[in-house]
Amino acid sequence: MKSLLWKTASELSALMQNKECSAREVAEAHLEHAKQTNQKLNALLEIKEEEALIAADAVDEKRSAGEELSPLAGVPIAIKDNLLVEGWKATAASKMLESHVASYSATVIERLRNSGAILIGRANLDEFAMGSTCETSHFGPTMNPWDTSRIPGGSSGGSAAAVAASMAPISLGSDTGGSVRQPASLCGLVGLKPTYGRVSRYGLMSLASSLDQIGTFSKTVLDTANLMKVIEGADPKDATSCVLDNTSFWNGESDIKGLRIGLPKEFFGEGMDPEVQKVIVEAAKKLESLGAILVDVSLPNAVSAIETYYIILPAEASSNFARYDGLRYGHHASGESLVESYEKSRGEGFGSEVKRRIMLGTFSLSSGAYDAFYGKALAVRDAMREDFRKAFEQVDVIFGPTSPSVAWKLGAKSDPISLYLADIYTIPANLAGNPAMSVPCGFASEMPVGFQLIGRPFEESLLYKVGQAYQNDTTWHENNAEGRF
Amino acid sequence: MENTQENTAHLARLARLSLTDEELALYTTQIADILTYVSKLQEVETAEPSKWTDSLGTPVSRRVDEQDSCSSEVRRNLIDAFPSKEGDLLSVQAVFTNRV
Repeated sequence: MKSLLWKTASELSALMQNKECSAREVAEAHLEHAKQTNQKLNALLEIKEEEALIAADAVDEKRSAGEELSPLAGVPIAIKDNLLVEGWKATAASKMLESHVASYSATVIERLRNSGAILIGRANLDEFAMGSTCETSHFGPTMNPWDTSRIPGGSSGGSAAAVAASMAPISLGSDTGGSVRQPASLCGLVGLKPTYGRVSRYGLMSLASSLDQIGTFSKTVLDTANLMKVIEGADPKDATSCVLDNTSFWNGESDIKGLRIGLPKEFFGEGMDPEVQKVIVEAAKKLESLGAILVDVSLPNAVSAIETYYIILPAEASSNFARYDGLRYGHHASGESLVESYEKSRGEGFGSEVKRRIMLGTFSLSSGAYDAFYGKALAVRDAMREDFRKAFEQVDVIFGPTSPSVAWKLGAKSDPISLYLADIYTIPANLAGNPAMSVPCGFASEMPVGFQLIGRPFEESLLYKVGQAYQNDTTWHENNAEGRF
Repeated sequence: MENTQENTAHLARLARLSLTDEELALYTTQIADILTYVSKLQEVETAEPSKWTDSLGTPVSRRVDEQDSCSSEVRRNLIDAFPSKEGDLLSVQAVFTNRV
């Protein structure tokens, strides 16, 4: 039998449906490969071999009994470790939750299990999803499979590396300011951040509640769409999740003749690596050659995206993270008084980036600073949303780079602001709530590059259409990191 | 933007975070730099922010504030996670008195 590694989820699904292999064989191949390669990459914090094989056997039984199964049945998937899976450790890559075991499963996990997807393990991340490199994890950094001396991106670096290294063909991450799209770009994958509210956040550890969305990693747009079909949709347990109407689903179309694609001038100014820019411009020309019409647009307030984000996120995080008091769960350190116990538990439990952002948020929300910082950031956010609305009067989809550079060396950047600047192109979509997707489009300095598409709210179908058109006519997504680690 | 170690210590206290002396010094500088950077936002002309809207700008939906329950299994899992307990009760230090 040919190797079952380095295949897409759709390819594996077809093999299983045609009875050319079993779900058990697929699971065994990926689990063995994960065990062999994880020492070099540290993509997975834990591999759940026994559970995965039991689940795979259950899928095989159902298939033998002639049951109709989801396209994801038997497909391995890695899960970012800020998503709760009942009975699994849920650490958020933090000392604060080092020994914590999830009491219940996230809605997306229930939906994946019902589809027959095989959860293979917990993926590494920047601590509590705060970061762009996967270096702040309490359990050590993850390495990029394309070059193990480089970062995979973050915060969903483990999820990205797991798919790039073929530990699983798909994975889940979370995206608050680019934490799915940026690692997708740096690891040569398709990474989707859905419209805010498209996927239930129940069971996702909250970072910034108005920005967080669960997102997907895969090699292809088709796999992304199939995975989203399983996890998306309203959930009574998440009041911000939305009912999806029929118009928001993709019919598989990929003809983009006449589609208007906007190129914001703010995304093509200073700050982008010239080699990356060359690749991105080539990708835009490819879309034009497929019949799309390129239109210059402007998102004037996008230049303030980083400042806006790094006021709103810390503010919301400081509020959300009050729950980590060391009393009901998590790391506990006793002090002379209750307040001292809080301070010691949190001081010991949190890493430096987490503490920094909590204090920034505390400042922004304090009286005297509230209006000038947090109030102002909310107003700029409103303006950014209006920028998108106006741009989408002229175009159907917005196009630009995902990341200003390719993956950099581990340890190369330690100054917080230089790290924050990595999110410059991804943040606007989170602030406005729009869906956005990174698609692999080439290489610079032998490292992957991705372009980003941003759509109107709930128009993921247009993103899929454009992405599929691109992947039908190019082979960048067929490259993989085999032999590179 | 200016920042002092006293300010940072005050923020840490508000945020219920203990810091080492090294952290205090480091964060004082870093927070000053970050606040200087994000303060650029004050030069941007804007209208009053909308209130009570979600990320997409639609009014926030609210639901009736009614009690919900969880399964006995989830309840057990939650209680088992208590760092300190007496029976099924969470044990904590008193709020207003020092520990004896």
